[in-house]
Amino acid sequence: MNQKSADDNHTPLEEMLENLPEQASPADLEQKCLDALDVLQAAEQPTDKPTPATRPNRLLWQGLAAAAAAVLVVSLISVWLPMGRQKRVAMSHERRPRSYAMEFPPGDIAPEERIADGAEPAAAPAPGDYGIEAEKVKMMDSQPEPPAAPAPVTTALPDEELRAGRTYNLEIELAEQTPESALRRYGTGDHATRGYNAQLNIPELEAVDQVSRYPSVPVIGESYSRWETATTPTRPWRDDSGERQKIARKELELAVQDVEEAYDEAVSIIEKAGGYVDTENITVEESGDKQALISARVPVDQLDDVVAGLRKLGEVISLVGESEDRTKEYDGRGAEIRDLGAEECELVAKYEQEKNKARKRELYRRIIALREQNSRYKATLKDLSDRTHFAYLELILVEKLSPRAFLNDIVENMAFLGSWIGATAVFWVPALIIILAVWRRKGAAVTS
Amino acid sequence: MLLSLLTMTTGAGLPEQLKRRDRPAWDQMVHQQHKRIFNLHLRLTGDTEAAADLTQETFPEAYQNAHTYEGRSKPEVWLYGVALNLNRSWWRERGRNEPPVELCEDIPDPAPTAEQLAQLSQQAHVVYAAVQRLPETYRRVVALRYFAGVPATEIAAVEEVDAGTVRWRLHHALRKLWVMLVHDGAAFADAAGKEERNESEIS
Repeated sequence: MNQKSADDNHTPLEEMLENLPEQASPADLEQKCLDALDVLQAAEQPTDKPTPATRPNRLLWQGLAAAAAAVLVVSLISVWLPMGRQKRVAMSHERRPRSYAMEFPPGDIAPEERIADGAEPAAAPAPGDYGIEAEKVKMMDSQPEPPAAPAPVTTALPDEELRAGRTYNLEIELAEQTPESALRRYGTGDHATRGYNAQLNIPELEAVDQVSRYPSVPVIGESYSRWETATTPTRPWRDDSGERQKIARKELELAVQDVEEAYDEAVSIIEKAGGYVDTENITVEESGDKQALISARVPVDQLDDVVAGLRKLGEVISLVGESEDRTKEYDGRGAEIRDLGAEECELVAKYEQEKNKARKRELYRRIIALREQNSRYKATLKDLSDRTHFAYLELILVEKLSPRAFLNDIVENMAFLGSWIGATAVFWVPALIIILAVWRRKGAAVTS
Repeated sequence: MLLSLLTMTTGAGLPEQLKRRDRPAWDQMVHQQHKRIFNLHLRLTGDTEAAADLTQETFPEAYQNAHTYEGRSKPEVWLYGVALNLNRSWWRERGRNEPPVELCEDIPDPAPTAEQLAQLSQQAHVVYAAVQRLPETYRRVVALRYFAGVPATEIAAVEEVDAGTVRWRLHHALRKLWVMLVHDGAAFADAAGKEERNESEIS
């Protein structure tokens, strides 16, 4: 109302301007205007499309182009991410340190126990191998118990007849992880721990009893087996093969379709070749990616065949092989064992001939000490022999990216990007609206 | 049928029809507005032939850009806006340099006498020439308000400014126009000559 009244309050000058006479338009002006519209309409009709230069069309096409570019960028990123990820996984495998020495420390469990559980230890060597007379060996086997030996504790022992002065293998299963230092108190022979199991060579019967009544760690189960009698001379070392003693290692990384299936097949191949799986580890990540790591031991002469068989399981990502010559150490340790065996035989002969009880006891202790030392050497040699006769094989199985997994990765990445775009919408949506508004205003200025 | 007839006669729904580029609606628009558009161009160009040509261009231009009409003003007002844009382009093609928009606070409000108004009514071309010399901003509002008879509120809608701004522009445009008519134009030449002579005699 006020606005209208404001418009109505005209000054004389305004009234004059409003009342200026209009000039008559040309007579044919209206028809010309209509003709111009006809021409325009006729020009548009053949294509039956809106004006090509109209802004909505342009906007639509530009919007479509922008959307297409965005989809293209998102697709490229989505494709790049899984590929880069696969590459990174492969690179991480390449960078993994190969610390065989840490995984397989010397002095490990005797190989024959791992090859076949419960198998009997190696048969006693022929007397001639020791380089001494057979009679002496027989005499040592029938050696009387030393006078200083304590009375055997039979309550915690199995049915097998145990005699003092003999070394037994005690295998106990403990409820808790027990440090090696704690177990060392009860066994002076070779020992090793692995997880909850402990193996001790117990030279004294009272020590056996102590272990069976281990104070701090509850014992779940225990089994005793005779390791070697004290009177059996230590098996001397003699290797007539003349072959170089080498520790061979190979690492094979495979990309397979199904990790679990490939794992089973790999184990089968290894075991058929006379090898065994030492450690194994299958990892299933949150994303569903599976990965298996198998550390196996394979007879050296079968290593190439095993590797060839494993290669068929999938696509080889990497294959690394190396070897280490330990012939010198092998020979040296064997010579030491032989010398200790000979010395032991001499001491046994002296022990037989000795009449004095005190000296006899001293000889007996020396014999026991020699046997312990020899036993350690022998274990070391066995381990070395094991390592030279059984090659290390580390097999890594990673899952090959199947098309489905590839698509899944793309979908996951797109979902991630979508969430990211959604999270940042608070920034770019207003910016987009402002840009569009400016755009529209600019376009509208042409006509209005 | 009855509804369409009703809408055609009352004008309701015409914006939509124009936007859809319904030809009958546009024919009606041409019939109703071609004289007003012609006079608008004529007053702003001073050239009958150019005004006719610009009128013929105005309707196809508006028809082509019918989708940009947002209904903020009456269709004819929007059409005047299209006409003024074409008119501006016409002047630019002729190398016109727009004068700066200057504030004229020190100029008194126009107080024409009845005699002066009568003279101006007789010399319309002088008034048109003065309007053509106004800056673009002022020229548009003057043309829309006094030549096309559009209220200030609708001018504000089509110019996308406040109504107060339109009135302010009109106020300053009139003062500037009056200065041009009195001192710079051919109107009241005798009176101006007399004033100048008196001033020189005094000095």
